Amino acid sequence: MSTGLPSRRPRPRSSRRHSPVTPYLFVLPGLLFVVVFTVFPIGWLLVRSLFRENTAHPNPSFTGLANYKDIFSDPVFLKSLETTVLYVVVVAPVSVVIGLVIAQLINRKGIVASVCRTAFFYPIVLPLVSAATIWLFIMTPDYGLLTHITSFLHLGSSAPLANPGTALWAIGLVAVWRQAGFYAIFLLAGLQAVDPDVESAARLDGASSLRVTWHIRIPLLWPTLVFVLTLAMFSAFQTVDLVYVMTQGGPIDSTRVMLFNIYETAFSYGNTGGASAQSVVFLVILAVIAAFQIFVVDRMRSEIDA
Amino acid sequence: MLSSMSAALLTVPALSACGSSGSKSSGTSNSTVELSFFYPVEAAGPLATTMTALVNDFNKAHPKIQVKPSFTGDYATNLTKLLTTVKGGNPPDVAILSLGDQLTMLDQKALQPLNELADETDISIPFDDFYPAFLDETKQDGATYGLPFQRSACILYYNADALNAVGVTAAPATWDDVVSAGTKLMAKKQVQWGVQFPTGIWQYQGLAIEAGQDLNASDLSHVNFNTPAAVTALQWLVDLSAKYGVSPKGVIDGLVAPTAFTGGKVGILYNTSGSLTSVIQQSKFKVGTAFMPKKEAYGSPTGGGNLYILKDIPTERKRAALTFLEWMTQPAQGARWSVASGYIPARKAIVSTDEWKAFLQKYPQANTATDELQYAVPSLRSHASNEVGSALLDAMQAAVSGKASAASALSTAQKKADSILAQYR
Amino acid sequence: MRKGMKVGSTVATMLLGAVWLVPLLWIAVTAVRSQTDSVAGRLFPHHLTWSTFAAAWHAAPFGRYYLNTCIIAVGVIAVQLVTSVLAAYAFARMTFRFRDTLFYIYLLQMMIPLSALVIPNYMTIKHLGALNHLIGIMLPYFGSALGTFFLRQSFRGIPIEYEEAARMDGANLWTIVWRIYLPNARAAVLSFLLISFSFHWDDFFWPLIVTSSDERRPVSVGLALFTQSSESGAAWQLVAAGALIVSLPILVVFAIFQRQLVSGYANGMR
Repeated sequence: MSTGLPSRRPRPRSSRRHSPVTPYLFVLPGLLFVVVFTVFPIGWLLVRSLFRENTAHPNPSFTGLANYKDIFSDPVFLKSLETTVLYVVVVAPVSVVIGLVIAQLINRKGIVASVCRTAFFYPIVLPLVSAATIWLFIMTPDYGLLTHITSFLHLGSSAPLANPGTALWAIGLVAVWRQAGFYAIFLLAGLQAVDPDVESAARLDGASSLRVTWHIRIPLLWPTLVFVLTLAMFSAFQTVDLVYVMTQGGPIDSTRVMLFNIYETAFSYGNTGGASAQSVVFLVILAVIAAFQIFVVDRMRSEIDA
Repeated sequence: MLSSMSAALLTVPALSACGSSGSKSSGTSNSTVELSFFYPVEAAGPLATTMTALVNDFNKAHPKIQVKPSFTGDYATNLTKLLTTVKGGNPPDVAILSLGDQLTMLDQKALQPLNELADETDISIPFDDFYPAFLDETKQDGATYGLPFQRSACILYYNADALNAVGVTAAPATWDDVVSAGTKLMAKKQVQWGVQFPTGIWQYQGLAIEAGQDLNASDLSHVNFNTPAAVTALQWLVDLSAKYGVSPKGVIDGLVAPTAFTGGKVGILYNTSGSLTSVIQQSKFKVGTAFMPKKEAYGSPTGGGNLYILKDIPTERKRAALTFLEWMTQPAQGARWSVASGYIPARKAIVSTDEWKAFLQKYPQANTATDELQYAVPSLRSHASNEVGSALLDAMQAAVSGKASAASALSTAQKKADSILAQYR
Repeated sequence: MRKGMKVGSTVATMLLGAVWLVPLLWIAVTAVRSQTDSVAGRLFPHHLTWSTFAAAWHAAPFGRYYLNTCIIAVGVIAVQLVTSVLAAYAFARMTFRFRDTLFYIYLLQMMIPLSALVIPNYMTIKHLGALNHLIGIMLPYFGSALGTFFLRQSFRGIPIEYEEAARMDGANLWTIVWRIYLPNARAAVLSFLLISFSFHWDDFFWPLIVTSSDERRPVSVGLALFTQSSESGAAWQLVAAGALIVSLPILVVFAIFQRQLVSGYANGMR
């Protein structure tokens, strides 16, 4: 690959022969959309949350932090905050744990593992509305599959979506069913990256499978676990489709997660100012989760790699 | 490279431009006018199919006017969609709305007065033929905004065969009758549940009226949610499961309950008369119907929806829209729709059609709703109907799930409604 | 003991897999039998009927919904490919001022879901006059941070020698990007396209807000409303058939591309 010229410095791994404008032109198309549909909206929400704009006052008027005062004294918003946090804190770890169980189970050769792999993965690609519809039917009171099963087991009839104590967890169940396979993919990759020599050494020392898991796999899997947990938290936080199709926020607001409340406040009640303030709060919490990912996970990763 | 990229970037606005010509085009020259039509369905039955067939027939009969129907969910979702499109500047041309929704839309100044439009164009609308009970509700400040189309009342459906089997030969006529019939049904294991009353504010209004006072107040900025009658009514609902054990605990879905009824799992059902036809056809037993059983008096809300035209649409489309409305409310179409669903005929001419008479021969139960009209009142209406209704629904759900007592739940609902309505007073 | 554990975990796998499959099986069973059977909840149907699929197909304009969804999904991934390849190359191989800042802006999009920004995006689409049009659904997705990310990783792994060799042959930048880098990143591209395609097939909330008329709806919104209306018709077998009609294409794609999809997700993590 000699060009005949003396090398003056190590070859940089970047292209040199382009005009200074070209990189910007390359980045521009994608960046344009990102700015218009992500960056600008954030600014818009921040600004509009300081204005009052609803059906009784259709012309936006500046009100400072009044919208924030209103939403933080609105029991429905506070409940949606509480519901969302509760949901995330329970459903995310559960999906990850089940994902780990699935990953362990299919982390072996053989027909059973391959066939079951498809069983665990298909819910991920199943359109969410289809999944919601299917489970809605299963959980229908009086004649849904679930009621038939519980009656068969003499546990009485069941209507999880009609009961405010269980509706949120019924949705969580669907979410876990749907997502666990997704997390299993990542965890499987992580498991397979665990050095088999370390494992066989442990087994030779007589360690049982359970101990191997606990003392060797999980610590080495830790960065992947945390990464997957963050993904799960993000996903749980953004729940709205399932709520819309299955419960519409009820019964008694027990499944009224933040995004659903924002949607209703803006489009059903016409309160743009209040919805903007709620969105800002939502984004702040998202930012916290993201920061957690960046600082904690990456630090862990670099520790492991070291 | 630059040229192909800029070409790509330029096509984006072009796409949106040619796309946006859709609903706003005037299409005057060769003039096939396209109308968009939003309609909700909140009654059990294959009504969306019937509606589509009706609209198709209109389109065939009127080559110059093509109506595109869009099913938009239940009344609440329909209203949300409408509000969104009105705000977004791309409303449909025609829509079906319930009475409560009409007021919210009028607050947005989004509806076209139909009597004015009829005068401006040469399309005559037989306003006098519509039942005053239905038409008068659509009037405000001297203008008529809607044409009654799918109107209903809340009635009692019961499994006559099962009731006979436990010795109940007369239709339940009072609240106590309902409880005793339900108890007998469950004792003899004829059904899984004796009674199901959907947890909905519309049906509940009937109970409140029967207990002595309507939920509607004298003007649109007030509602009566925590009167003694309202509390009595809600308490009875709670007692159906908590005290008498004839209903399941928790929220009962008004779209699921009819299926349970037709499947024989529920003995007595409160539901809209708009699902009459499908309930009777799907039940393998004799279906009896009756007025909502009374307490102090008989009572029922009227329900369903009327046809409206949106105001901010181009003039030539308004004319076409009125033609569509006139056609849909003709006796032939009205009879067809009422026969397929069980909705009460909206005008007198429908009742004299052969189709309706034949229907009554086959299903005399259809008379129940029409007869009940003498006790019916307009359904809940106020400003910000979605929000106010939501507050009441929360109270109902809280009470039937046992999370709050009927009294405290309604008191909360009243406070919430007052705070929402305060801005309109 | 080892063998016992092995049998135990095999059984556990099969049991858990069976549980996972139940919803799909149940909906398939529901779609081929009568409503009375469904309500009665008999495990084994008395009669089987295939006519429900035809009935469901006619009950709602699924053909139209499909067409819309295809246009949206294919249109979006096509544009995403273009914008992502270009941006990925720039970030992977070019040095320029603000490169890192711009990259973080892209990163921002990965953190913030569209569902949190519906209100301002709705306003933007409204001002562009694209409400209730397919392009209105598609626009916010045209710049894909995920795609850029994927491809950047992949591009970085391509030996710079390829590019240099092409340069010496006189190729210009455009050719290099599309003829050298793209083909060599085939695995990443395929994975990304599959992930994006399945996301857009599935997308529900944003199209729900943007569309108001039936003929513009994608299959996800159409099915949700169909469920609502059929539920009231008590026709669960129709709903089940509808759900299957909607799911079938993507399940087929999944069956064909399962390996690529899975490895795509796994590699994306790095």
